[in-house]
Amino acid sequence: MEFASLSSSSSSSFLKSEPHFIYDVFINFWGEDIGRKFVSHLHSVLLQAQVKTLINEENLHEGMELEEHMRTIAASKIAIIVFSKSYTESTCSLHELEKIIECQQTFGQIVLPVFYEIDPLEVLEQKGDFRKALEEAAHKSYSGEQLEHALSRWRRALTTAAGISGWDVRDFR
Amino acid sequence: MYYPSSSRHDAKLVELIVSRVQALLEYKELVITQFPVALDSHVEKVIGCIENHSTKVCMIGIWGMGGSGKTTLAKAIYNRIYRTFIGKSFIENIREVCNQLISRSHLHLQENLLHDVLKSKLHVESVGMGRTLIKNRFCRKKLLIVLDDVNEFGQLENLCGNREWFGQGTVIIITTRDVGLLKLLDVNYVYKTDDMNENESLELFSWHAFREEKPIEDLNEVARNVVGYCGGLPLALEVLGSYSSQRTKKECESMLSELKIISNNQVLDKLRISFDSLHHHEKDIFLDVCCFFIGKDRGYVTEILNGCELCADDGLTVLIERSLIKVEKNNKLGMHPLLQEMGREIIRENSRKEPGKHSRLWFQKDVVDVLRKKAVSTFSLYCFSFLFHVQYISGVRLS
Repeated sequence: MEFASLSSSSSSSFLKSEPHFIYDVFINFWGEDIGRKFVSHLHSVLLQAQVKTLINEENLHEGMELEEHMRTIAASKIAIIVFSKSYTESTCSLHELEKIIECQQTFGQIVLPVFYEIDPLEVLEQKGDFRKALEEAAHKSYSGEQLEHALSRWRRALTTAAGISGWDVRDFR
Repeated sequence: MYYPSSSRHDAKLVELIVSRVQALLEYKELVITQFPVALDSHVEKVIGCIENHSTKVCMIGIWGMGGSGKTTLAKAIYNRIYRTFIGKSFIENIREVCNQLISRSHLHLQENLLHDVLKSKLHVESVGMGRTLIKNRFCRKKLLIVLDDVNEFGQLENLCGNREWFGQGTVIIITTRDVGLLKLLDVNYVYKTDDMNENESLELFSWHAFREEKPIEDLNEVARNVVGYCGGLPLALEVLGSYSSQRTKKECESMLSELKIISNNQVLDKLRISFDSLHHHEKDIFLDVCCFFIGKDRGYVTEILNGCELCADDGLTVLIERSLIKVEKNNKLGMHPLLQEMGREIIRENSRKEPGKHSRLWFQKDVVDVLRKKAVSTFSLYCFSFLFHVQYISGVRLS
């Protein structure tokens, strides 16, 4: 034990150390249709409530490097994942999802899944079209052993995320 | 505005998500003192220690005597840094909670800690279960936790027993009068709240007495003398400063002569000067708040006390102006633990061994003992007020 008055206070960076939060919320989703409807609505209400919110599309459009994009996810306290039928059609949302689950496990990023017109069970078990789309997306980016690795990582991330308590939009219909 | 039915339902969902997000973030500053004299420099020093720290979890102790500004300092640090954490909790008045809720107190504290961080209510059956829950739910989270006014090691064991319970980057701040507890816990740093120096003391006193940085000309000398007797203790400066507010030179001088006969380490006696100057009904209100109404809503308390014909509106205002009670967030009444100690001492002083003769009872055990032995004073007025206060107690106990 040390008495504070004895220690000099040079400015190192315990408070500034990772994770260093810049955003309150990151919204992860995929699909133009759901983006236009639900996500843009959610985004604008969050902004109105002065919650610093980041959404995937806009930043990718600005040509942001993947690595930098992943850093911004890690700089968010809360991740909202909006699962829909088209969620697995893109590797982009899946890469983000992987990062989110990693952040949840390293520093406790808060994950709030929303199931938008999709059964949570479908996400949990990855069946039917949801699985087909997942495999197609993976084939577009990877092959051979890498493909197997990516698929198993994403499936694990999907199962983890679907097991977290969130909202099922069908409860509101 | 017209919404097609699906978007109307979406709107409801969006509303729910946003309110959950707001609850989780909860960007709300704690209320600190009205006149923060020299506070910033202390805040900087403690934050410097936190930043200097390199290991996984940083535990900091703030140690000093009652009334020296430990809680104020902890609140100011909390306000400065809480936004950099994923979750946070400020557990106030741990000593008092444990005094009141003897058997369930640690469970209650654990439940509060869990709720503050997770924003959902968990029922804790046993302290063992509470410790496991805290460990399992917090071990990957970067948290800010403040444990205020700790007085037993068990409280620390059950709330932050092990560094392994918390995630990388967690900061735990503990305020206490007992440095031994901090040694036992092996905190990384201890910050001692030292007495205020002469200039700081005079400034704090002047803000409370004259609403200005320096004493008004006429009262300069007597103010300096009074400050000398406060021993650099912020609480004494605040209470005696507020007492001096709007008083004549003569009244201040008579306070000074009272101070002169109190020995230096008798803080409670110095604070008591302010209590003794109150009107009869204000004293009653002070003692009632001290025993039954801390943490209760001001409006609710006013209503009950008015029912006892105590003119509570004016009375409470006077007590607030004198810095004897405070209105905290959500309009709840608060009182400094030392002032509370003083109030209870006043109630006990003439009948130390006979709770039945006290004007108020606040420990469940005393109430039960007195009722069982029927040791209530036969004096009818006494009896009336006693019974009335038993009702207060049941209110306090149940909530």
